[in-house]
Amino acid sequence: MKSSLDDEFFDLTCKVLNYAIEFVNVPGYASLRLLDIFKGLIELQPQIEGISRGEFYQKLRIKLESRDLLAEAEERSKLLDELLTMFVDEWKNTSFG
Amino acid sequence: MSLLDVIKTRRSIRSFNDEPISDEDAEKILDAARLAPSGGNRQRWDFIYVKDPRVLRMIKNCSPGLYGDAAAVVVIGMEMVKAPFGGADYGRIVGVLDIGFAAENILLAAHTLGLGGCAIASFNESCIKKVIDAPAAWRPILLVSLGYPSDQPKMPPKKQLSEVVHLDRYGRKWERLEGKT
Repeated sequence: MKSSLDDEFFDLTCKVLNYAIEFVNVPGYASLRLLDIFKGLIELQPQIEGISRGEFYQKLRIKLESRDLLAEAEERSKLLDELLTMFVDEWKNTSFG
Repeated sequence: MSLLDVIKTRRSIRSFNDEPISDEDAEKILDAARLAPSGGNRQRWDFIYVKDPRVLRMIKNCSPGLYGDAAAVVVIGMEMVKAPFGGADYGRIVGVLDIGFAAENILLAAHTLGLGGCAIASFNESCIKKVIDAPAAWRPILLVSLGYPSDQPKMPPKKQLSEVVHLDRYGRKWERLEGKT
């Protein structure tokens, strides 16, 4: 199935977020490192031509800046779930109106 | 093909071509799932058949274990409730086992129809629930990808029958199985 750069970027960031969630309760830093990559991708978005959904990514950046990413796993898990909900809502709005 | 041949030739398929699955074949596969055995015949499972490419795309985003572009995915899950009477906690062990039986029926029925698939347990449960609008108490247990295979993998190494079968007591070999592959 062919997809646009816009969709590819959305899918990639969503997958990285899901991986961060998968490791959030595992001892070690895997979840935190994946969250770093996620944050890096979101911050890169304005510099990449051909990616729309600017408002959505801006909301993600604001959410990430407002929270302590080094927080305990429970607090981070809550943040990651909120970010995931934002992704699913964005997908529903753009896919099904 | 006899049922034993279907069992022997089934492979886990993770690479698919673009051919869609007909609704008639999907119905046959899902009916095979419905007819699987379940503890106390409770049939507490639900099968969410996903064929919309938009939903499939998001299911894939939630599922690191989902390889290839499957034409459809069956999300199998159940409400996690305690057993209403004594015995095994149905909402946990038995219910999960039942879903395993149903998944095997799906894979065998698919193979009989020339399709292939793979059972997937590596997915983000919360993400899947949000995508398919599942109720709070409902949990996805297994995903089964489905589609027409783009290649036919060889059988992976399997233990010999004599390695896994014991006669009458644990550890006692069954002579007739020795040396058989």
